[in-house]
Amino acid sequence: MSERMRSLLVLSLAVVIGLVTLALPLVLSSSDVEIYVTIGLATIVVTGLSLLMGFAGQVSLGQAAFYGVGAYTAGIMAVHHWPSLVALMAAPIAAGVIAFVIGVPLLRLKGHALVFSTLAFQLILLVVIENTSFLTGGAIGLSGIPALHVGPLAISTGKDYAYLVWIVAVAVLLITRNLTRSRPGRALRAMAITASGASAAGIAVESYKLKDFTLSAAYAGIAGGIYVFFIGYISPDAFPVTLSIEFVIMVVVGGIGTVSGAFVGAAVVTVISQVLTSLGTSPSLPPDLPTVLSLGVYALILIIILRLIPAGVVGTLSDLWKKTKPSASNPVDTTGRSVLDSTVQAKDG
Amino acid sequence: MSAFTEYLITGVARGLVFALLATGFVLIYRVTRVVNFAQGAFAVFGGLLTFSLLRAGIPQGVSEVLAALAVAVIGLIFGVITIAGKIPLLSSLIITIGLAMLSEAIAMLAWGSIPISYSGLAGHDFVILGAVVQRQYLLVLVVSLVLFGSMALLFGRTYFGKAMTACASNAYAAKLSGINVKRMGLLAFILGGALGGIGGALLTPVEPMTYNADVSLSILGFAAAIVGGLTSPGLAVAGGLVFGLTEQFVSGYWSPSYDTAVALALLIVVLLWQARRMRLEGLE
Amino acid sequence: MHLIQTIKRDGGLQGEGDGGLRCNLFRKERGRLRKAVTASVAVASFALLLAACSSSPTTKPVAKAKGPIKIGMITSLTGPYTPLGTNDKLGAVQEVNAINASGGVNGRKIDLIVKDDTTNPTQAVVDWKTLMSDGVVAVVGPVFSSSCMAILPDVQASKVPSINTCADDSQVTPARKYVFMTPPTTLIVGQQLLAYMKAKGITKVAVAHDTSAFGEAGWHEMKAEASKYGIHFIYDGSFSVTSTTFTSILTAVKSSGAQALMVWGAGPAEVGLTTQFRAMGLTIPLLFSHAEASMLYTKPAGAAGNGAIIASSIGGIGPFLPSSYPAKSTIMSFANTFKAKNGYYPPEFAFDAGGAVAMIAKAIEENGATPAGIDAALNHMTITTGDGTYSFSPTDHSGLTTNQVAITRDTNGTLVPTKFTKAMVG
Repeated sequence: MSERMRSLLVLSLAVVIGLVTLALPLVLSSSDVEIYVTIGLATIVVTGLSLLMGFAGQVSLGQAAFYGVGAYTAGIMAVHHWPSLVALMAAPIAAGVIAFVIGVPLLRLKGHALVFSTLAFQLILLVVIENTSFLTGGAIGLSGIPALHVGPLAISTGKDYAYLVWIVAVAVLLITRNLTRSRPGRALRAMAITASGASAAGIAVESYKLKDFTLSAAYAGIAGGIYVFFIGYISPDAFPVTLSIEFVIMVVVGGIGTVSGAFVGAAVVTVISQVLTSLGTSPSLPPDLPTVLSLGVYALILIIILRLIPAGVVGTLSDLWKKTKPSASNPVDTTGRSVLDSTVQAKDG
Repeated sequence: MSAFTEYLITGVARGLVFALLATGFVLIYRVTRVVNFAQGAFAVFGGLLTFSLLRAGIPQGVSEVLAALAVAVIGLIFGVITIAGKIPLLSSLIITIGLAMLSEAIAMLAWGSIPISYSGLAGHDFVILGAVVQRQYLLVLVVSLVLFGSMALLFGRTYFGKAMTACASNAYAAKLSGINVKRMGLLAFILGGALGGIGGALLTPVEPMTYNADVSLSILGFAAAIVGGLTSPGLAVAGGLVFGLTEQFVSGYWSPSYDTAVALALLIVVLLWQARRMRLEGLE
Repeated sequence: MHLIQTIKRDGGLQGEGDGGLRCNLFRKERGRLRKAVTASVAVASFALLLAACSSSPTTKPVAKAKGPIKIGMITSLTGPYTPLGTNDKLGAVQEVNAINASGGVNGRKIDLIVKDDTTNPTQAVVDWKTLMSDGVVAVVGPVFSSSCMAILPDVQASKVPSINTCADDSQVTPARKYVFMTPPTTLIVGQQLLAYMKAKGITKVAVAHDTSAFGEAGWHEMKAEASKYGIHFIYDGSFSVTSTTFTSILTAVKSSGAQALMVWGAGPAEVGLTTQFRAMGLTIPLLFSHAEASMLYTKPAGAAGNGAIIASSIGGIGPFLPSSYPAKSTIMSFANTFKAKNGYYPPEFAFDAGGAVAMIAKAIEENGATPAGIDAALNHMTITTGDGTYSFSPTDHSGLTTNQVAITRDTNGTLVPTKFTKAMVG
């Protein structure tokens, strides 16, 4: 295949994917548009988390907390009659600022201690939200959040949100892509492989980690901001620890440290769980069946995916591609290596 | 005074249950480097199986032991699924989360979604320094002390324990010296399962067990274990006690709404202090 | 378009190595291509999955005058509210089957479409939209309060009536168009418990409530009403839905000198509280709201729950009602069918959802199977279901009064009406 043909192929693929993405909200039923928006929101959050896990080697089990911070910031401001666009813009800023402030001490922790502290942060945040009802509405939540207005334009239908969320998702993916290919990106990757090595090479490890942590929180924040206008109501129930776990699952299923993996992971996991949730609710079926499907079958699919393709969908596909083209030497591994990402020791026996 | 004693004893008893869960985490992590988020599921199975065995007319004491043995087998199965073959650690961690969900589905099918409880140690509750203490807490105290003692002996005195420790510190070297590292990993899962099972069996009489209690139990066990860097059983016990006591005193002298939040915040402070000390000592 | 470029070019990790300059260009191009293929496979598989997911037709079928009438249901079949939602579904399905077996409504069968909100408000919104595209004429709404609140704007926008089974007063105070509820409000339950305490000569009461929407609302409404009944709350403690130890609250209650402990909360926490209440040797009356009025509480609480005073909808004491009581036959025919099929007396959730189906069926009978017709009929409906007799009006979308709230005593796992309630039902 000549260079020219290759470029043509790439271009036509790009056009096809672009058209599909733009056309989907028009052809999907209104409930599927909701799922489409959900996937877009998850993609934004998971892109940040993937950046954090794959490039900076940090696992956060509290990413839903930043999603919640964004949602509550936008929701509270909107309820207090701030212009909705300002409220939306404030969401990533608030999430980023909070991440920066807690990141300064927390990022001194390594490995699982950091994992624990992010999890703990989310649990603490939920308690704070429940006990500051004058501001957050407590457990009852905040309702009556007005619609989002961009200038004279009201964003109200599911389709509107589908386009809004994908514009933001594209922006987030572009920022991330540029970042990972820039000098800071290379620094982050080096850091994920060996922090001490990176630091010896003159990379300001701590500062990069903090920036990365802040950025990933800001991504989650903007997703939360869109979420609150989309649903029009928030309560702490929307941000359980299981949501944070689900984000991590999406990263791993998609393929850690790959930018397209964020989207693939978000889409695959969301669609699987939606399909499983919609099965088994029929009146003639036993009432236990939904639990068996949503927990049992979901868990089995998850375990099977990870046993068969531990590197995730995108990671495995690119590994396969590599095998078919042995000449394409690739000195950098697809997955950032970190404390949490080496192979199980006990296997060696 | 009586209130103080009551908080103290409840805190210690709960702390010891967390410690039992935490030592399971530590055992499995030390040998395999896997953070087993299905640890809480072991406790759930322990409690629910004990309930069924007691119902079948098997006497107290025997039921708990049988349940713990059954959970040890579950631990073995989970171990095989988690660590067999070559797999990145993060993927194996997610697999343990998957196993926890699978356990919830199984527990829901077998025992339903209603909380389950049974009466614990027979006999009247007793009074210490003006505080009424549930008798079950005494059992928790005795059993966990015996278990912690035997674990210390196991690791310190036996070949098996030393082999496990060797796997933990350097799998490659352990393998060279003829230790079957994978088998040690599975043994760790068996023991971790048994410890979790006993914890659940002891806990259920004071706190009714539900099929989905595993998430919070895993978080609490993880919290206690992290104080010892997931590798020190002694510090994990300390972590469990700190957590249990903080919860009770915050709950008693401030508000039960904040108990877990404050205990978690305190653990973060402890971790930061540990990290700072390591840095100062140049151990990093 | 942007998305594609991103995916296409996200060669970040693979395209660029720091190998020799010579082959850099070549490698970059290859990396790009590889990424493009990866991404297209990903998008294609995603599209396939989505197609598989959208089993529902994408066009809105218009409700026709023939064929079955579609009624939607949103409930929690997975997640923390599973025990409630499961019984909701059993109750609704039983009522639908009964209606269909007797020839349906106006000669048409009812087709119940059930959706699981996974105890998550976000999913409830997705479910609502799915039901709307399925073309349902009315909905049996969520049992999870947050889900009820989350779908409110959509209910108003779609103008399809939703009879919710969550116990949240704020959804009907003030009455909103298209939103109705079947469980007794926390207000009337609180009033009835206060009346009971007054009748018992209790004046100093301690309260423990969880920080859920239900627990908070119940406690605040009861506090606001207390002075009318001459009752003083001398201690209040809050706990979280996931709390497992109540030592501190119970210690404080013990030393407060309260004559009774009132508990507002829903979930497994109340079982633990009961066990520890008995273990600490407390002997004052222990009172619960209607959230504990089923075997979901009495069974795990076991002997410790014996003697607890529990508010209940009137359906909970069906077997004890005198045969002269108007709702008795409705309650017992529902309960007997339920018990025969499921092996236990129906908890309130089953009555709530079954009642909601009966209301929708009656509305269709009166005004036809259109959302507007059903809504108009509901706004003036008087109907007797397993929860008692409702009188809806445009300003009252709950329809029950304190007369439909029983005060019972847990007697070896059975809810037996107190003398106070026996006097009320006659």
